[in-house]
Amino acid sequence: MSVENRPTKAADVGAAAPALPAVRPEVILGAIPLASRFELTRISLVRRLLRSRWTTFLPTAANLFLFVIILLAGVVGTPVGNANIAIVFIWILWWSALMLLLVPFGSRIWCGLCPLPVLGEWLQRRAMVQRGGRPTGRAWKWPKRLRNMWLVNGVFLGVAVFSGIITTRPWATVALLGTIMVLSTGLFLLYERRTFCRYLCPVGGFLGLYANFAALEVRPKSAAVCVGHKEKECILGSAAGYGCPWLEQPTNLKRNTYCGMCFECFRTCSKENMGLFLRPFGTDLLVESHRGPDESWKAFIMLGAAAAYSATMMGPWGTLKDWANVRSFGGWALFAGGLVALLLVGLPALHGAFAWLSWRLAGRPVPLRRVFVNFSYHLVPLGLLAWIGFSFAILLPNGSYIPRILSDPFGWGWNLFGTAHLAWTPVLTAWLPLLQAASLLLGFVYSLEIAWKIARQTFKGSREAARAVIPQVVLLGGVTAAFLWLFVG
Amino acid sequence: MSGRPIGGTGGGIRRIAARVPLPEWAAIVIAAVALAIGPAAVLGYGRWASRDVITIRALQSGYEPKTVYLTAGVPAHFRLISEDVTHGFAVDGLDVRVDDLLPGHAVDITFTPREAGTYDFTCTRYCGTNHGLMFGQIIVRPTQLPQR
Ligand SMILES: [Cu+2]
Repeated sequence: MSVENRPTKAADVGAAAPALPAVRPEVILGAIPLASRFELTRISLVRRLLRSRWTTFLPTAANLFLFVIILLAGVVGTPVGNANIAIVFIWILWWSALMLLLVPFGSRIWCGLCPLPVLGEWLQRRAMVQRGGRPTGRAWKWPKRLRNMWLVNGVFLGVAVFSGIITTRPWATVALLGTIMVLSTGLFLLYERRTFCRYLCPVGGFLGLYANFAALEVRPKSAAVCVGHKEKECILGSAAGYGCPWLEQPTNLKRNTYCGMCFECFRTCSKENMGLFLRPFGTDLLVESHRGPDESWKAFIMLGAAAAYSATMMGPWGTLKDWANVRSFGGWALFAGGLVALLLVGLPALHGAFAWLSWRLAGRPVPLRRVFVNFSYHLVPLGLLAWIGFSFAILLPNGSYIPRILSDPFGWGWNLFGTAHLAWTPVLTAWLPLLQAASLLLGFVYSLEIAWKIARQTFKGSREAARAVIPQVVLLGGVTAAFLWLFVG
Repeated sequence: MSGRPIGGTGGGIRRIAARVPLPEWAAIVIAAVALAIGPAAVLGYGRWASRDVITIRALQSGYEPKTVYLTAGVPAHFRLISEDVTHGFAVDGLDVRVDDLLPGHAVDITFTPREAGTYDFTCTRYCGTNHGLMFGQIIVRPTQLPQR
């Protein structure tokens, strides 16, 4: 399946049927108009912060400091996972923070603060905080065939099969992060701008897809201003900043997928036409342009991975845990093969079957491929909220390791801040099943809402849409029930 | 101040330095703190704060170090850390016994050996097939008193 030049296909996809005034203006969950926005850049402090280059530099430098400590801990610290900052900060604090806060409320804000690519970026720009002059490196363009999420999906899977080791052994976590840093630095010197972050980072793919659900966006304030503005500073760069490092066209930003929240366009735009907006959750899942099967598979992979990790880490199946933790090569091979088969073939086939049913019930008015791709986007809210449920199960029982690890990052018995001897205290774990069930329910409802809207987009008539959405309701219900059973059953 | 090229081809370090604007210098200092000075300071402070602590690591393959030297009459601070499973630590002839040496939970103990001699320590928890290998020695040297 080719996914090139997807943007141009936008025009031929049916827009929401104009003959149905009942659903206009589009509202989410019957209350929030889809078009409602709150412009944060109307606050002058926000405007000033986003225009300052230090706003990106300082948090990144702070993260770089933490990252060096984590690298050290992986090499010289204790091999006991929950006594080592590498495991506690990456897999308990960072991963939970991504799911619970950063992605839903900040889109790809993490990418703007990520310490892994900054060495490469600084080298490439020959500058850290100022606008550098002539860049170093080859500035090659990424091959056209690879300008999608397929490679990222592959890299993510490659990491996921070792999750049992990576999430428990400090050395493995650090080997992964170190590899990403070295590889990204090399790629920054070969390829233009943030090619690595866009097309190779294993975390970037899921951030990109799930950012479409986020309640925060960077968009031009007025399209008319951009049309009349021939300098295109946001794309080409200016003395005040770089052209979009993420290879996007900020003038034409339609979805969050590849916007890395670096805020360069706020610095370059001499018309002050870029805005930071709060918006209803899930908005970009309804944007029809740029959709493609690479993102569908990302949705399957993330949904399946949430289930697989819940099963291996919290399920009662000791054998599965042993397999994932590579107790024996054969067991691990079974786990890895099963995981890859589930994520690449099993879930897509299940989704395909239900998409086919939807397509048949609607009377096959559009190509099956479009139904398959479009209907994969409503897996995102449920997927994210399943991850949120998973994160609660990681954070509430283990969160008390965080203050302890601050005082003793290497597990050497230090007590830097006097918090090293705090007892391990599970927090609110009695509420955990309730929190998880509530997360799933919210995800289910939101996914239903998005599914219905996508059905209305994909099929012209409301009768067709109503028939097509039935199998999707069944599928979403089934997936929700399966997670409910995994979490609390 | 912005938009000026940084670095460059010809010219010595002084010429390049003169072309680097002040904010960039600040950034370079901050990055140096993040990358090297800060982490080194953390390591240095942590080690300094526990400078008179003797750390003994318990692993399924044995203790590390296996031999510890103390001086009679001088308080000794031990930090016991298990790096894999639950171990124990007991010293024969001294009043020292820790039964729950859980992985990831350092146990700090302080005691004062009164008499010079050699004391054996062992693991008090059956911790696997190598449990028998878990032993070591504390050698207490006599107090160096000025000869009367
Ligand atoms: Cu032992």
